[in-house]
Amino acid sequence: MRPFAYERPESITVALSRLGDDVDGAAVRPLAGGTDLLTLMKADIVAPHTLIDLKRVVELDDRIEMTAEGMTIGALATLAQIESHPDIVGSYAALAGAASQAATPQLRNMATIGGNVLQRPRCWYFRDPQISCWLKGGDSCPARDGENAHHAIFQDSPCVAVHPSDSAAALIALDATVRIRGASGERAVSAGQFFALPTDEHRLESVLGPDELILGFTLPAPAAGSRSVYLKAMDRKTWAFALVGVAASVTVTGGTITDARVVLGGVEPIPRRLIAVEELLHGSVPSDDLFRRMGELAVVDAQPLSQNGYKVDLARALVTRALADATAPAG
Amino acid sequence: MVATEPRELRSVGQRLKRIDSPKKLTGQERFTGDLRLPGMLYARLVGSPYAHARINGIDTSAALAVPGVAAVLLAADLPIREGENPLASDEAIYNGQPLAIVLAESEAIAEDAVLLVDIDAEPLDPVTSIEEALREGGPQTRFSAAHVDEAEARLHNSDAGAAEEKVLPANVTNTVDYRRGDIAKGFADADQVVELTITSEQVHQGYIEPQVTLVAPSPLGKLDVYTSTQGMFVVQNKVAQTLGLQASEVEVHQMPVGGGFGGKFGLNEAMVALAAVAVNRPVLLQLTRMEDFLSANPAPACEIRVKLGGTSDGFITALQADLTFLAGIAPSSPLGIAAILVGGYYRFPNMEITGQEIISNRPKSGAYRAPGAQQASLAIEAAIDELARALGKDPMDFRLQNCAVEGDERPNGGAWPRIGLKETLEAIREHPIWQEREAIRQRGHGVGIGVGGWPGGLEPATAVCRLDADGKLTMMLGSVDLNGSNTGMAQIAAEALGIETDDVNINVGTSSSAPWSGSTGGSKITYTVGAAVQRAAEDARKQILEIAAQRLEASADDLEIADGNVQVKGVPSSSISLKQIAELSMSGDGGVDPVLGRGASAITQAAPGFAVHMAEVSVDELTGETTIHRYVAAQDVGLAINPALVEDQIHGGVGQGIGWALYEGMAYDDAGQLMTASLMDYAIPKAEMIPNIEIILVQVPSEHGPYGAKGIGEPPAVPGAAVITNAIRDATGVRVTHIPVRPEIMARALDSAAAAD
Ligand SMILES: Cc1cc2nc3c(=O)[nH]c(=O)nc-3n(C[C@H](O)[C@H](O)[C@H](O)COP(=O)(O)OP(=O)(O)OC[C@H]3O[C@@H](n4cnc5c(N)ncnc54)[C@H](O)[C@@H]3O)c2cc1C
Ligand code: SF4
Repeated sequence: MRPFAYERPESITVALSRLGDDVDGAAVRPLAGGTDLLTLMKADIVAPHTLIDLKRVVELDDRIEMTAEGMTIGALATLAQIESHPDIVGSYAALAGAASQAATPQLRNMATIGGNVLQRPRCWYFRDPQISCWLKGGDSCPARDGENAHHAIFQDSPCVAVHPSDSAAALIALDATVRIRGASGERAVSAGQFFALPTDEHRLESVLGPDELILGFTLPAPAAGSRSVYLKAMDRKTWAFALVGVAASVTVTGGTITDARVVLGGVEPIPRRLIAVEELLHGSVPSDDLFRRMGELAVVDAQPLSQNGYKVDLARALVTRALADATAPAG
Repeated sequence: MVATEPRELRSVGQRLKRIDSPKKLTGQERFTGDLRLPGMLYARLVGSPYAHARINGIDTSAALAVPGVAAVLLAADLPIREGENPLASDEAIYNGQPLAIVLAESEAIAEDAVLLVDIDAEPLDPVTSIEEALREGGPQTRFSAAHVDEAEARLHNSDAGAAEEKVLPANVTNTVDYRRGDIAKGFADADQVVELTITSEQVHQGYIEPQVTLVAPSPLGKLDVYTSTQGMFVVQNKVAQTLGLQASEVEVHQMPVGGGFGGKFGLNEAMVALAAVAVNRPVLLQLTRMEDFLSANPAPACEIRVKLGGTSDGFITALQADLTFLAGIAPSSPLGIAAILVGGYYRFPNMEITGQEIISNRPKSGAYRAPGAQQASLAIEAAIDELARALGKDPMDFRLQNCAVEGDERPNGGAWPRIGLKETLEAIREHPIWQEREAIRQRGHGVGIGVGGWPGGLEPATAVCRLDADGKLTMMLGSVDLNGSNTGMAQIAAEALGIETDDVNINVGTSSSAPWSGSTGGSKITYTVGAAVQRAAEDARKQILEIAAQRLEASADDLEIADGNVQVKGVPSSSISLKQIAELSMSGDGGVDPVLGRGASAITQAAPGFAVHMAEVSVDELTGETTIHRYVAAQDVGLAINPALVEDQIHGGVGQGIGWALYEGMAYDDAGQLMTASLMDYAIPKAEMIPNIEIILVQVPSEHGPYGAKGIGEPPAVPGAAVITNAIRDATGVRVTHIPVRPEIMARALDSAAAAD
């Protein structure tokens, strides 16, 4: 690992101004649990000269609070806190499920939710310092014609890596808002808008500016009759990133679906919200046949690469199963 | 045959706790990586960024400028006298191959400096797959001639097939060819013929402790080598040879091994010794997990084509098999063992087994617990299952009807000695899961069985023991305790001498002081060293009885050892304690020789071991995920010296088999870059992926092992993949022909089966 300076400010103004000092946006980086950032530094993928530890910043916290308007979660809340919080388990099952199926207990004790949605792809070309790739500023993507069994099945970006976060899909399905603070003040962005496909000019997976910090997340109070689930297909039963993940939140009123949000993870560089599926679900009566058709619809635009056709089947199957689970009679 | 008095066993056969556990459980054990010596430098390797490249130059100046860096050594800096240079100089032949060694005052400094070593290299076409290796006009693994190391293969298996002298295609280094009967007639006589091509990936031994060695030049002009190895004597010779020293000038200190599984027969010791001598300071090299994945010695990828014919009355008529092993940069694959086992479990009246070993731009392959046997079992057991189905036979009855028994011939000639394959199959047949498999199928689950065999290793061994002043016995050994074997040795010694196991100390010496016993592996330690231990303790017993006979004025034949005393049989009042005998033998006026027992064994008949496993599985048809619900492992162990330790070995072996079957595989891309160089990407099974394991011990005693014991280490790691793929076949109707059966592979197999319908 290359040498770096470590700072631990107590005020967010100081933290933000340190980030703002950095012209290229890569030399001064915020540090939360460090489980992704330090791995990237050890592998020499990123090399900031200064780390700003966020854990002493008074304006940032790990509080999880249920209010009449809904749930607020501080950016520093760990996945372990989230998976075991009774209100999250009770009212936001998709998020609790996503957190509990991520990584390992040791990692979840360190990993924060703020860092989780900002973690970088696990694409093995990306993580190999000796290989140049488009996302790291290179010209081309070696995964496209290379080892791509774990890569994207939707082709909307020059990069075919997949977003590794489980909670990201759940936050979008639960209609979360991301609270952001920059030098010029606070702004709020819906989770669905927070992630953005990397482009030539912006080779990152979110709209967060290099000089901004995530303060936390706000989730609306769950509607009566709503349920949510997160399902994750993995190479092995634990300690693995999602091959495909699906978060679904469905509200059923009087036997009819009145609201639905369905998000696929592991299928492209950012979580993929299935708007067409959601629209068709609206006003429909839950049935196995309906859910099977939704599974089909989820993957109509899929364009798998040479080695990942199986993921299309996984996505189709998981969407069907998630909808069935989210609408199954409680018990 | 080791002579034993017919008496009830007291110590052997007991479930005793491992004597090495307390230190390990309390963190007191000192592993090589824990050692610190004055003036010690930390080494880090600079690995080749390419699988195959011409090296034009290496610039070390920036790395040398880092404060705390003592040296950056290149190939030319190593004081090598004989053999291949461990650092590549003009041609790099695998991704991660060491090109330079950075030596620094701390590990972190060394690591920083590694990033600053500038390699000017020009990539060349690599050989990374079987197809590439065999393609006419395709790339060659290297320009310089390969280096053959047969000694190691022999050590793993006394039966390794010898290659014929003939001209081989480029990249092919070895072939085997075993024939029997008339293969064409065999297939002509068959009512059904099945044919399968089974592939498996390169797999890592997955030991917890990475490869680690510390070498210290001693002020007396010798070299002290502290290393985590299964082959202390092999290492002694290799280091001495490489540096042009006498073997006696190299002292290898056998350190505790944090997992070996065949992967630690001497990898980096010579390189570290060269570095230590070059700078005349102690040097510690502990590979990082990534370096270990890149540059250690994993088990090779393999492809086996099997064709099997049988008659409607349930007899096999012919076997044709062709094996291809994709070894790393030098021939080192278990082709011979695999070929023998493919044709060894059953009676094949007509047989043709051919095979080849291919070298490629991957790290040199090594042994992994029962090398070659997993691959062979997977192929033959899949084919046997399919043939039984094609013939409408029950797969268990079909196996029992055709399985090899004592006297049946093996592919390489020579008959099987007494083996317990049939008894082990019968033990599984009686198990409720097998009996109730119809009901299990109704639930959508499947039941599979599979055989795993191991020919058994051999190597002469010696042991020496001494009666200590406190009346206890110290047994000196040259083998390493990889798995609790020293506890078994203490039990054998206690049994032979007639004392309590607690009163035996096991002491593993250095390569200079220990009684010679070859390397530790191949399921041979309890079998061969154990026999030497038994004889050494018997020898000590004889000497003790003679001293006591003199003192008690009785005939030695009338004496017995009980409760720490030697007494006239049935007359406890006429006795002398072992402590008194020891004191007497150590006092100036005692007039009797100190007790020093000596034992040796040079067994020439191996004790093959067989395991039969059974699994109940289900497959999620949507996600392709396989769940193992129940697992039963039966094994012929000869005699269990310590049943708890035997079960331990079976648990571990089953876990590794499940890793082969469902999770583990080292993936390389077309450029020969390793994609799975971390435990994140390389999936070793975790506790929750291992089901409860039920164990059945079958005991068909061996002729030569101590108290009838057989080697038990390898067989339990063998059948896993065969059993699980056979169970998947039973559950889904789909035959998967590639392991590991990751969900994606299963899902694809289900898809193509559905498409074919
Ligand atoms: C072996 C392993 C397995 C894993 N498996 C999974 C898995 O299955 N599913 C899954 O979802 N994740 C998985 N992860 C990823 C893990 O969950 C993330 O690394 C973790 O959540 C990141 O949080 P952190 O607090 O450690 O972030 P850090 O590593 O500290 O930071 C990550 C990034 O976010 C930035 N950052 C952090 N906090 C803020 C903030 N408040 N404002 C602005 N920027 C910020 C940092 O600058 C950095 O760029 C795994 C990780 C490992 C190492
Ligand atoms: S998929 Fe994206 S991260 Fe991976 S190699 Fe291609 S561009 Fe790089």
